[in-house]
This record gives sequence, C-alpha cells and structure tokens, in this order.
Amino acid sequence: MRTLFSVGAVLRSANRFISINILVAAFGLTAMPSMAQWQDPLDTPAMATTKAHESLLLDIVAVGERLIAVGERGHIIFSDDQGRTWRQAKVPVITTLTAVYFVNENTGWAVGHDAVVLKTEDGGLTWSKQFDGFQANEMVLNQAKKAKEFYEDELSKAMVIGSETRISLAEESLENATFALEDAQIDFEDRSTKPLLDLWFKNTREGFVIGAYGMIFKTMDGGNTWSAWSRHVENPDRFHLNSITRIDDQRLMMVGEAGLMLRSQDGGETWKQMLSPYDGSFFGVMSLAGNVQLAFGLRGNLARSDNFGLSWRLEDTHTHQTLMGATDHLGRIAYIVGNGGAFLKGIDAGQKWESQTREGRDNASAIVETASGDFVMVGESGVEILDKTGERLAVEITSIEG
Amino acid sequence: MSQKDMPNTEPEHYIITPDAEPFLEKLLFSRRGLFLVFLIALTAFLAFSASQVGLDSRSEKYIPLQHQYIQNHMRHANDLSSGLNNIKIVVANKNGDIFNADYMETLRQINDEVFYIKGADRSKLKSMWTPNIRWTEVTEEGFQGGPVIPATYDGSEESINQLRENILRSGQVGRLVANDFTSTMIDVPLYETDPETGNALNPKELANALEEKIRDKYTSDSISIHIIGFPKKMADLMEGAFNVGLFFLGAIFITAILLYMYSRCIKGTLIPVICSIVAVIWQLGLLNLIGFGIDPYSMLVPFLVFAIGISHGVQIINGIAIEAGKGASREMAARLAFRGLYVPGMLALLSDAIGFLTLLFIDITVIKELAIAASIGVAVIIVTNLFLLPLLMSYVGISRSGVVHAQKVEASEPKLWKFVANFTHKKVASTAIIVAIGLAVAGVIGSQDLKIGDLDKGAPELRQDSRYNQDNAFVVDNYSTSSDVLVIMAETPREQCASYEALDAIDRLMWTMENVKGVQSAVSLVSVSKLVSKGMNEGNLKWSALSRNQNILNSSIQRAPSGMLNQDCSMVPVIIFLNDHKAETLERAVNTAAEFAAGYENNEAVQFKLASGNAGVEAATNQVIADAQTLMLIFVYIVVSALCFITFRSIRAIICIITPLALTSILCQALMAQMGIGVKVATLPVIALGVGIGVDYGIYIYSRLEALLIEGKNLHQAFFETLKTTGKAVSFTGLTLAIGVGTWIWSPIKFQADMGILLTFMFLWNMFGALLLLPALSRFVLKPEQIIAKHQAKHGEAHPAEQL
Repeated sequence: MRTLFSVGAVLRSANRFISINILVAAFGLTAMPSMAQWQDPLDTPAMATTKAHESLLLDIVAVGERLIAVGERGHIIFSDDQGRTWRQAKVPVITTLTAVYFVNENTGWAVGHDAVVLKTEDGGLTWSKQFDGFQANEMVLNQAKKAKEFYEDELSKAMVIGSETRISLAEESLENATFALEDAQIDFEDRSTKPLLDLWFKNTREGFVIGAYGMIFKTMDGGNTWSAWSRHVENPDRFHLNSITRIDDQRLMMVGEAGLMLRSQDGGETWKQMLSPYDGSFFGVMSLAGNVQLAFGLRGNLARSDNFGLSWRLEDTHTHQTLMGATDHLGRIAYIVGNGGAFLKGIDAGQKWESQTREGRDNASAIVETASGDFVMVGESGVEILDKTGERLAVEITSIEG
Repeated sequence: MSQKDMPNTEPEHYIITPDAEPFLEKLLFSRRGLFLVFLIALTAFLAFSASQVGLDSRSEKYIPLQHQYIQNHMRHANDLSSGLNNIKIVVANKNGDIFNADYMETLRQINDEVFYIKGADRSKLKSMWTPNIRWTEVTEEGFQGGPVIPATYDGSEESINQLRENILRSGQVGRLVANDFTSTMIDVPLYETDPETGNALNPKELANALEEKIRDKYTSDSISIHIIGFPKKMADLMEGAFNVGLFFLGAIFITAILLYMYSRCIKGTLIPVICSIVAVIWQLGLLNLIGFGIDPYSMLVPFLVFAIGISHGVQIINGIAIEAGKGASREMAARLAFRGLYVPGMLALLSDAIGFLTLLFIDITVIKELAIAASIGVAVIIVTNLFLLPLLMSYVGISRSGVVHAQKVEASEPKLWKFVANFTHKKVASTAIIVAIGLAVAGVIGSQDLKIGDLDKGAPELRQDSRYNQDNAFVVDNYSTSSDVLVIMAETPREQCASYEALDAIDRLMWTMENVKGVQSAVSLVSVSKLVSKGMNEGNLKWSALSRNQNILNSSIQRAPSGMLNQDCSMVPVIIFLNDHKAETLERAVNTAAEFAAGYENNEAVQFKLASGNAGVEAATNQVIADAQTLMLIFVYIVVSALCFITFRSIRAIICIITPLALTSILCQALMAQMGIGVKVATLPVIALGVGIGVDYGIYIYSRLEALLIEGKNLHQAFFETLKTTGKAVSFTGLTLAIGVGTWIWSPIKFQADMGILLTFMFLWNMFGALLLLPALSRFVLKPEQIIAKHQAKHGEAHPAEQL
C-alpha cells in the first residue's frame, strides 16, 4: 500500500506539472495581443504580399521606365525592369482597384470598387485615399435631390407655359429623376457602394473618374474635392461608364454598357451620345493616329471611326471573345487583349485585324508596351510578358518585398 | 516477460507476503487435473469467441475525437461534403489525347458501367458523358450554354471539334479533363448508406467492383485506369493490413526453430508454442467479449503476446530441465520451476500491462484500444504461460536430451558471457559509459529533425510504390487538384452567411491563407460570388469583387453548388488546398488560420472555426500526438521507475535499469528522424511498448545480480553467473520479440512496417543495453556492501536462496 501511495504521489505531481503547463499555455494565449475586429476594407491597409503579381490585376500603365499595375485587394505593384520584378506600393485600402492613370512621372490616381480614389505623388510608391463610395453616395443623393427639384420646377414652368411637348418631356425627366433619387437614397441608407471603372486626368488638377450606373465625378483641385457630373452626361438610363479616353485637347470619348458611346467637345464639360453601331457593351475606347478611334467590347465586337464618332463601323476581328484592354504601337498598330486568351493585332490603324489565342486562354484586362518592345499584360493570372505576336515569353516574373 | 532468476533459487522479492506464495503453488498443483480441464474448457470457449472477432475498419477510430478541431468538424459534419465518400476514376489514353471517337466511346462505356456500381450516387455522377457538365458563355442576351458533349455528337471529326471547343469553354480543364488533354476523370460521389438496404457503404465491396468491372475490364494497350478516393484507400489499406496476419505463421515457425535450438527438446518446444498460441486465442477471445474488433494497429498485439509468451515459457522449460536434471520427478520439476519463477514473471508481466496502459493518455481511440488489447494480452500470459504451461509440463515432462542440454549449459563457461562480464571492470565500464554518452549525444543531435505526423506524399499509410499511390500521383500530376485539403468553417448567424461583412472576412482569410507557404489556393462561397458577379456583368473582370449591395450578394450565391454553404446559411466552408500534408505545412497553415480566427473571436457577423478536411483532421491528430508524446514518455518512465522502486527499493537500482532504456528511447528517435518516420498514431505507441517491455530485461538481470551480490560474490563473478542463466534468457527473449515484430517490416502497409522497424530496433537495443550498459553502470553506481547491509537488516544472516 505504501508503495502504491508513493506511485500515486508521483502521478499527482506529474498531474500538477501538466496543469501548470496548461495554465502557462492558457495564460500565454490570453496574453496575446487581441487583434482588431472586422475593419472596413476602405480603412484596412493592403496586406504585404509577394503574390500580387500572380493574382487578379485589372489595369497597367507605363510611366517613363516604370510599370504600375493595380488589382484586387488594394494591390498596386510597380516594376522598373519591364515587368520582371515587382514591388508592392503602400496602399491604405484593400478594395479592388480597377484602373490607374498618371499625368506625369510622379502624380497619378487609381480608382476601384467602393468608388475609391487613391492618389500618389511619388511615382506610385505610396498612395493616399481621396474619395470613396460613402462620399459618392452623399454627392449622388444631393445631386439627385437637386435634379428632382430642377425638373419639378421645369414641369411647373412648362405647365404655366402650357406647352404639351415640354410638359411630357419634363414629366419623363422628372420620372427618371425620381427613380434616381430613390436609388440614391437606398444606396445612401444601406451604405451600398458602386465601383469606379476608369479615369482620366488632363493635368495634376483637372480630371474625371467614371464608373457603374453612370457614375461620373470631376475634380478641379487634384482630387481634393469632387463634384458629381452625371447631369452633364447624356445617359438617362444610367448605364455603366466603362472607359474614357482623350482624343485631343478639347475632345474626349467614353463608352459603356449596352452600346453606350459618348463624346465631349468641350474638355469634358458636356457629353453627348453618338450613334452606336452595336447594342452590346463596350469595355474600352482608344485613339490612334490620324484621328482614328476604336471602341471594343463584348464578343469580339469592335467599332472604328475616323471622324470623331460621327460615324462608326463594326470591323471583323475574327474572334468572339470579349475584348477588354488595349495599347498601341506608335499610334499605328493597335493591340487588344480580352477573355479566353484573345489577342488582336490591328494594322493600318485598325482596318485589318489578326486574331490569336494566347496559351493558357486566360482572361486579360489590360496591356502595355514596354521600352524593350515587349508587352506586359495583366488579368486573372496576374502579370504575363508577351512578345509582339502574343506568345508568352519564358521569363521569370517575381515579387520582392519592400 | 523475460526472465529470470535462477530457477532453483527462491526470490528475494515477493508480491504480497512471503507466506502467500506457497499457497498459490499448493492450490494449483494439488488439483492440477481439475485446473487443466478448467483451463482447456476456458480455451475452447475463448477460441469460439475469438473466431467471432471482427475486423474493425471504422475510420473515426484514427481521429482524436475530443480535439476541438474534430468537435467543430463533427458539429458541421452533415453540411460538409467531407470529400471522403467519393471515388475518382481517371481514364487515360496512353497513345494520344482524348479527342478521338474510340476514346470517347470507351469513356462512355465506363461511364455507363460506373452508373450501375453499387453505392454510386447517380444523380451527382460527373464526367464528360453526364449532362450536368456544361459550358457557358456570356452573350448580348445573357448566359448561353449546353452540355459539353453536344446532343448531335456522333464521333465525327466535326463533333469532336465541337467537343474540344466546349471543353475549353466549360472550365473543366484541370478538373474533369487533364491539363494535357490525355485523360478525363469520372467523379463518383457515393451514398454513405445504401438507399435500398440502409447498410453502410462497404469499401471492400466497392473496391472489388471497381477493380473487376472497371480496371480489369477496360485496361488495354491504349487505355489505362487510375482509381483514387477515400473508400478505395481504406479497402487497399484493410486488405494489406490484415494480410499481415499471415506473417504470424512465419513468426511462429522461426520462433519454434529458435526454441528448439535453445531447449533441444521437442516437447519443450511445442508446449511453449502451444501455450503462447493459447495466450493469443485468449487475448482475441477476450477482445471480442468486450466488444472490440481487430484493426490494423491492434494486429500487432497477437505478435507481441506470442513473443512475450514464448519468452516466459522458455524460462519455465529451462527451469524444469534443470530440476529434472537434478533428479526431480515430472511433477516436482514443474512445481519447483513454477515456484522459482512465477513471482518475477507476474511482476514483469504486470509492469508490461501497466506500461501499456500509459497509452490511454492519448486521446485517439485506436491507440487506446491498442493499449487495452496489449494489456489484456500480457495479463493472460500470466495464466497461460506461468500457470498452464507448468501444469502441462507436469504431465508431459521434458525429454532426456533437453535435460542433458540444460546441464551442459549450466556447467559451461561460454566465451561470449566471459567477454560480456568484462563490462563490470572499471576500464571497460568507463569506456562503455563514455560510448553510451557519445551515442546519447549523437542521438539527441540526430533526432533534431524528428517530425510529427506523416511525411510521405499521397496516402502515407500505403507504400509509395503501391498502386493507389501511383494512381494518386498520376491524378496530382495531371489535374489541378490537391489531395490535401484544409477546411475552415466560417460560422454566421442563421441566414446571414452572405452578409457583406461575413463574406469580406472570409475573403481576407482566403488571401491570408494563400500567402502561407505550402498553400496552393483557397475556395469558398466568396469565389462563387465573385465569379457570378463577373458573369452577371458580361464577363468583365473588373466586376470580380464582392458587392456591398445585399441583393446583389444574395443573387450572386443563389445558384452556389451545395457544399459551399449549409442549409440555413449559417456556415460557409473555406476550402484550402495544400501542397502536401507534412507536419510543418499543416502547422503553418493551421497556425495562420488560428491567428486569423482569433481576430474574429467575438465577432457577431462571422467567426472562424478550425478545422475540417483531411488536413484539418491530420493537424488535430498531430497536435494530440505532439502534446501526448512528452507526456506519455514522462508517464511511462514514471511507471517503470515506480515498478523498479517497488521491486528493489533502491534509487541506485533504478539508475542501472532505466538508463539503458533512456538511451534506447533517444536512439529510437534519432532512427525515426534519419529514416523519415514521423511521430504519428502508429509510432507513438511503439515508444511506450518498447520501454514497457524493455524494462523487463533490466529487472531480471538486476534482480539476479543483486541476489548473487548478497551471496557475497564480487561484481564480476556475480554478473558472469547472471549472464549464464538470466543473460541467456534475456538474449533469447530479445531475439524472439524482434522476430515476432520484425516480420512486419515486410508489411505492404507503411505504418505497420514503421512499427516493425522501430519495435525490432527497440527490443534488440534494450537487450544490448541490459547486457552491456547495465553492468558498466553497476560498477560505478552500485554499492554491494550497502545491498548486503540492507538485506541483513531485514532478514538477518539468512542467505537469500535459503529463506523460507
């Protein structure tokens, strides 16, 4: 019995040892700094990663020798060696970014979901938030209220004058304005946001950001303050605005959902619809030398104009894949990429088209030509480097930290 | 087990009181006929029971059911498609790609055949030939799509081209179609219970059907078939594991030869073998009575029981031979041998049993059952080999040749033992100790890379060159799929699984995980939502994101595949594909996920629970094993030390006996590290078994040595005498045990082979430790004067052998 007791004592002391261990473990756990709860993506800085170059990227620009690409989870990455190695910029949000634009080597903006607008003044290394969907909602709501008041006013004026056509026009406009106000109110109350899809800046002060459901905002002070601009755009159905481009100092173009084509001849002050040759969506618009404009989109459809959109003609692209992003070589040859491995080359300023299917057949969103004459393309598989014929180059693409 | 005191010497130590001992002997031998009949009847009864013992292939036995991960998994078991009830059949064209009419026709036939395989859930069957595999495309009017194999398919060039285009549009490349287009997959979900009979799925029947109706029938010069999936793996595993039973015959055969060489007596060979087989029968019979079956782990126990039984039996035969040589009658010889041996025998067997029971600390059913089965096994040896065997021998008697052999051995002074006895000399002893320290240091260094868990690819239970693992490698190489899946369960309030906050948090978890080394990709409802959002916006990649608009979110997951969320939308599984299931990969992934989950611990919208999927289960198992490893070693050493202390009441004795064991444990870990054997469900028990059984060698050597020292012999003489009797027994025992488990090295099942390797190593090395290191330690640790003084204080001048 005595020995059994001593065995019991040994076991008990072992038990004590274990429970101390457990205590230590438990204490260690509770002593760990408790992490923050869920933070809004607009308030969460992008996570440091070396995988951004192989995840979804949506736009890319060449700024001098530097390439800058933006994509999901607030990723902004840049490369100073034609896309071989990438570094990640410091970004204050984890929102998906859809487009990027630079006016010079230092100053640029990026836009994305949640109507976020980011700005850099150091060539893309660090970014700060200037605008987001909650501000956008408020602005849209205020503008919608004003619009409704304006058309109510307009209707009562028309009633006073008694012009039937003016009354019915005012009634229709008022109806649209009422719907727009209701939608704006719902978005505002639900804190639901919409994505910005493209942007263009004239200089370091003046620019436009455009996006879903006809969203368009204008800044005159480099993005510090914005004003809602949709009242100046002829887009009563509030179709998505997908792409904006500059033709020359005064003339701009936008394309969007359901064949929407718009142009401005006064530097973006006012926008009028053009006669569209196609009902499906356009995802991009570009300008080539010799006053040629190309708009491209769903299922391989591509429209060409050589008279600033007075007339458009659909070209045969030999593909049914949706076209998403484009670049040009010296303004004469257009290169367009898109879904399902689409790779188009348009020679003679887009009059003759050659279609290729890229290896891997992945979906691509944007492409730029590099100083060395290759292409760097971004899309659902991240960065790819292509040669002139759309063949993927067997070069190693990596991300380095910091 | 092993033995033992000189048979004609009364033991110095006793179990209850010195007076109790003759009582048992009198009781047993005065009615030996009655006892024999009773034991034979009992054996018959247990043999019947043993014949009923079932093979137990329940997979949950291998899982630490109490672990938080497993509890979380169990809570959602009904909602998680475990991926366990699923078979994948890959049909490969050896001579080209899949785009030809012959291949497609063969595939169609196989598809039809699979359709009628018992257990297949026909409605969820997926292959090129099932209508649920479709292509889709966004057009101006919206989505367009159709079955991958067009309704007009006729095998013509044109329809093959159509098929090729459809496959590319279907997104099935890497899933149902190999990345190199030379094979396609038939995905066969299974019913867990047969909808007609209500019986549980029988992996063996299923595997047989697949082999006969698919693999054997369709494999040809142009077609190869590869079959993987959990039920198939289990079937292969069970088949291999239970085939090991045949090794038992080999072990019996080799042991019998050794035994004959030892005893030179047919009767003295057959009786211990028969008694040891009786022990195995009892063990299996009792196992069945308490409702246990045999699993691939507890298969080991009959081997151990047999070997331990033999080693005890051989001592008694030896004792009988010596007594018979002195002229004792059959009955008297058996009786004297019994008297001399049953106390140390019982002590040794009880210590084995208690040592095994330390395995109960490990919260994995299969290990607990192994512990219980092994404890029962050694306990029954007390009756079968300590009681039944001398009873039988009292009738049968030992042959003349056996007696002569025993006498010759006793009189001889073998060179081997003379050499070994030198280990008590100061110089040799210091050398031995220095070598041991060197080995220990080397062992500690060598065991630095000791890993937890399974280290090999594919199904680590099976050998790398097994057909299953070859098939698995084929699938992993040719398809974008991983067989190592970790699932984190995102729990939300009811009907809230698609709230923006929940989905966004899940999205962040996915990205966090994708940034962990060893993680390939992550998939969840979020992936579906993003994909559908993109689709609803005409395939525009820029819309591939979560919307803050709840209506849009809801509609984006409306047609999510089942398994992406549960019935009442309160749980979303986050499926994480890993490169492999190495412990460090699992640990990294699980730690990152746990850290992430901690950040949402009290969140109202969503909380994250670890972990399901095979990787989740393995991670939990690894954690249990890692925690239990040290604990179990501590306990097993406490138990054996306590038993030594009970027996010898001396710390010095404990040092002499335990040190060699500790060295073996260290070297065993180094061996595991060097051979790439991880600490896992299969190898953890081996460590306890090795120590538990290994301690006996030391106990018997020491016990004999001490008795001789008390007689007044010097250490060298005493050890030489010990070696001639007990030492011989110990080395025989070491060999028998090593042979018993050593046959396992040839098991087709990897973990059984691992167990075989390690146990063989431990049994042999413990033997060397007791024969070589123990005397060396005795030279420096033992104080013979003290031992004698202590003995005298207790028993007066009485000679230990003359007490009573």
